[in-house]
Amino acid sequence: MILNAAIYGFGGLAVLATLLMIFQRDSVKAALLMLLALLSTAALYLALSAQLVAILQVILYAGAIMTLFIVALTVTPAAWRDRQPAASVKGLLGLAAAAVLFAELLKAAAPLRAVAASREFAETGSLELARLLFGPYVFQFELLSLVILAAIVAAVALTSRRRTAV
Amino acid sequence: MTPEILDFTANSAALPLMLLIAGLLILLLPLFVRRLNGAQGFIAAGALIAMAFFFRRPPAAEVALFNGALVLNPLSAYLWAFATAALGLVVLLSLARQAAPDESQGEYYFLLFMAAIGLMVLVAAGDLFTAFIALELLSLPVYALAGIRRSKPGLEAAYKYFMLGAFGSGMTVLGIAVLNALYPALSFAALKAGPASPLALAGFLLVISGFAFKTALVPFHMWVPDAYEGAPTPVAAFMGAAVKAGGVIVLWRLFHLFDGGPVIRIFWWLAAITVTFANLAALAQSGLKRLLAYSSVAHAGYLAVAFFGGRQGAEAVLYYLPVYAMATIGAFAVAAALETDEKGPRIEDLAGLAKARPWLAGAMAAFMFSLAGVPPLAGFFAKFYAFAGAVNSGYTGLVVLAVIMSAVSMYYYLKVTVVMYMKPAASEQVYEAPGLAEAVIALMAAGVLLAGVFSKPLLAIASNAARYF
Repeated sequence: MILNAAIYGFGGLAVLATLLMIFQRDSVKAALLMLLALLSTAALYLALSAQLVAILQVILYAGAIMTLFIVALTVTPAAWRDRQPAASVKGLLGLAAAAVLFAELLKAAAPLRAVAASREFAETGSLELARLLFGPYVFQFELLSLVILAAIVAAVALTSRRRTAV
Repeated sequence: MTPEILDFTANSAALPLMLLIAGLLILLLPLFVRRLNGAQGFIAAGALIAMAFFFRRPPAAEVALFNGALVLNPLSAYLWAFATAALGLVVLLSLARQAAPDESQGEYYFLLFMAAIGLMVLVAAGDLFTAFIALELLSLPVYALAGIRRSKPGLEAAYKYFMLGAFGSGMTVLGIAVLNALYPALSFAALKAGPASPLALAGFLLVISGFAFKTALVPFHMWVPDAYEGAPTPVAAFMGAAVKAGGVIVLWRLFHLFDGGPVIRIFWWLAAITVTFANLAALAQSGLKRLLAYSSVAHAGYLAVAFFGGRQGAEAVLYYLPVYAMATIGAFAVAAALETDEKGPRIEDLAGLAKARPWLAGAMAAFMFSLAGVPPLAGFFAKFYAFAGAVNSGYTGLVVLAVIMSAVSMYYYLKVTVVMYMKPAASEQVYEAPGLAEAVIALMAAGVLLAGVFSKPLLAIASNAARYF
């Protein structure tokens, strides 16, 4: 009962915060609303008794990534002075398309209630995750490390200041 | 070390991938040996040449590694050879025409190798999850490569490519999450056997749209013209030849999970809209690289038509990919040889090329005719097999549309040739094509001619590989 209330409460809060974020014109306020959405998602995970995922959500998303956002906003004052123009016909069309897509997704997701989660998803503790990551998914896990390496090299290649003398 | 890793290292079928990873490590040498700085291109070329010696006979049977994450068979060997050849040609082109600023040479070749590793894993992936990570490994380096010159058009290209690519990746992840709820295994075999439900359909459509972004099927193509125009020309050639091939292979696997129904109908519409829109949009282009960009979108559409051909279509796709890649890399090599600014030559800039450089103009004409599908060049046979398979499977309407649009494409491919041969040069131009670029152009021109006149050997290899699909 309490768990259900928590799931629906935090789920609703996450949706509300995301919607408010999308229609927020002030980028700093939008970032804070995003933080709220991320934290309520973390609470949702906790209510679903996925503690590790909840902690990772707080550390990685609410912690590291949001800090990055706020720092990026502070060092680029132009970004928060730059206000989006008011809604236009194009914007309305985009909104209509999004509404149609959303309705379709809702329709498709309706039978999801009937789907029984497979047993493999029952355990979400750190030990079980580690067993999976270093067992059956070791190849994908190592491949991801290459993706991260590529992202680091890409970021350095795009942003490093030109060296004049080596 | 887990036993899987031992399996992997002991397996000669996995050798090309390991050699490429070794090449990646050798590329790090200049970090430690100062004197090697600036020689990264030659190191890359050397590593690839060394690799060519180790390409053994393809595995006779199918080998599944890492719980089926990586499936090695003649099909993967064929596509690995394709990926390595494309990488080698792009490395040669980059040696001829420096694509990255001096201080980013190391990063440039490193990212290029990384993307090639991603492509090789992508085409051999046995499940959707591995395919997605491999797709990211293929895409991320290419986003950065597009903007590696850090000039305005380059950064614009990288930004647009990245934003739309990230959007496509997001859709793919959402789709995979939905599918994972229904099929815990996510392997292509498990997906095929799975039940049909509206939820599965939604998941498949999300995954398909994500991969359609990479393959640049209309309406997921918006990034293509700007990305090809702004990216360094060798990188644009890599995008057109290799990145697209990766997307095509995965889309093809997804297509074959279905025997009919809404997904096939959606593929029908994607193919029809792509061939129509891309060819019509290409008519209005004046920049050579933009023209080639729209041409690459159109060819993605022809490849989607080939999907409908069943087994014959599978052979056609495998024959089509290298043939299309040769003409595209060749045409981009010519563009690289003629470019004076970042956006590459306009079509009028080719005026008088036949007089000034008859050899270069002849090769360019061969590429254009092959892309248009004029016999006896390879492009004709590729289109012929692709369309014949679809007709035999009863999709005549789609093929009629593709043939009509192929005729429309004659106009813009011929326009390039007409400008080269009929128009006098507006001004004296200096054409500098370094020896290596000329070598690549000559090789590609010979390729589109020989693969057409003697199409049997390539087709036989393609047909053998298609059995394992």
